[in-house]
Amino acid sequence: MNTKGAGPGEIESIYRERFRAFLLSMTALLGDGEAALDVVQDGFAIALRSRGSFRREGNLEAWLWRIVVNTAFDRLRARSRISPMPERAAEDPVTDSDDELKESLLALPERQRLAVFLRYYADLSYGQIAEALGVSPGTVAASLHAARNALRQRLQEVAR
Amino acid sequence: MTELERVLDDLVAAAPATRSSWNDVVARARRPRRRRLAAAAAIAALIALLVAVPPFSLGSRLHGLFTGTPVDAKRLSPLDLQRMSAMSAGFNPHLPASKQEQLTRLKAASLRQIATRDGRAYFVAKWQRGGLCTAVGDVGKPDLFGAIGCAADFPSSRRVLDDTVFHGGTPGVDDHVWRLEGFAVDAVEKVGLVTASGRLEAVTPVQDNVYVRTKGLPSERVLGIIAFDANGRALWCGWRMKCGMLLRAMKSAR
Repeated sequence: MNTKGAGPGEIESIYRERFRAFLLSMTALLGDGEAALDVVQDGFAIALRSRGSFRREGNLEAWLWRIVVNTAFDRLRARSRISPMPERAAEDPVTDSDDELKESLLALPERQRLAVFLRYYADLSYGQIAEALGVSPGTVAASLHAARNALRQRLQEVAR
Repeated sequence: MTELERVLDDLVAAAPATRSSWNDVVARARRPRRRRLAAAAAIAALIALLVAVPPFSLGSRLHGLFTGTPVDAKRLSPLDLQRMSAMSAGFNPHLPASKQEQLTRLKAASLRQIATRDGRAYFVAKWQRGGLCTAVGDVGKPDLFGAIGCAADFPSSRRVLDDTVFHGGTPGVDDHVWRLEGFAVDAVEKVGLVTASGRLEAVTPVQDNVYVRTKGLPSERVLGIIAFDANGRALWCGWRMKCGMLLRAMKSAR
C-alpha cells in the first residue's frame, strides 16, 4: 500500500462530493463569490500538482482544505496589499440586529471567523478544522468558543 | 433557524450557482507548470549570469543586510512559519509541511529583523535559490509578516526592493502613494517620489537598509520612485518609468 501521495481519483472524488462546501466557505471568507470559485479551482489545481507530497497518515480532505484555505489567505493578503484602506461600500446604514450580527461576525479575527465557517458550511469536525488551519484541536475549540461569546455579547447589546 | 444561521446563509447569498468543473481544475493544474518551467529557466539564466560576470557576483553588499537580530521561531505565528519557511526554501507556501520541516527550513534561512520604524518591522532571510527573501509587517500584530517576497538578484545586482503601496484605482490615472516603503543596499542614501508635475517629493533617508514614509506623501499622481546615492546620483528607479524619463520630467519642471 502506498504510504505517500494521493491519487488524482481520490482528489477528484472529494472535489465532486464537497465542491459546494468549499465554495460556500470561501465565499463567506472572501465576501466575493467569483473570487471564491477561483480560489477553490486554484486550490484543487495546486493539490493535484502536488499530490505526491500528501502523507497518508493525515486526512486527505483536511489536507485539501488546508491548501484551499492557504490559497484564500494569499488572495486576501494580495488584496490588502493593493488596497490597504478598508473597502466600504456605500450601503444603507446598519439598521437591524441581523446586520449588527453580520458586522460582528465579519469583525472576528480571521481564523476565528474561518473556524465558524468551516464548522457551519462544511460541517467539519474540530480535528479536521485543526488540520485545515494548521493548529491544534484545542485552539479550534477555543476559537469557536471565543467567537460564540463575542457574537452572543453583541446580540445582547443589540437586544437592549 | 437561529439568527446566526440566518446571517451565515445571507453571507453566502453571493455564491455562484456554478456547477463544479473538474476539467477546469485539471487545466489549471497544467497551466502553472509551464510558467514554473519558464521561471526555472529564468532563474537558471540569472544564476549563470551571476557566476559568469564578476561585477554581478554576490559581494559585500549582502553582509550589510544581515546585521540585524536573529528572529526566534517562537515569535512566528503558524502562518508566518509556514510561509517564510516554505518561501525561503523555494517551496510552494500552499503546501502543508510538518512543524519539524518548517523549523529546519527556517533555521537554514537565518531570518533576521533588520529594522523597526514607524510601527513597521523589517526582516530578511536567505533565499535558497540565491538572493534574499524580505518581509514587512505591522508591529504588534499576531502575524509578523504582512507581505513576503523573494528576489534572486537582491542585493547582488538590484539596488532596491521596493514594497511601496499605492491606493487602489486605475493604473496610470490614480497612482497615489499610500505608503513609501522598501529595502535598499548600503549605497542608497535616500529615496523620493517624482510627481506628475516633475517635482521630487517625500524624499526619505535609507536607514538600516530600509526606508518608510506614510506622512507628507504627494497628493498629486506619482510617476515613479527614484533612489539616490550620497552624491545625488540616481541608482535605481521604479514604478512606471525608467530613470532617464523620471530625470527628464524633473529637469523640465525646473
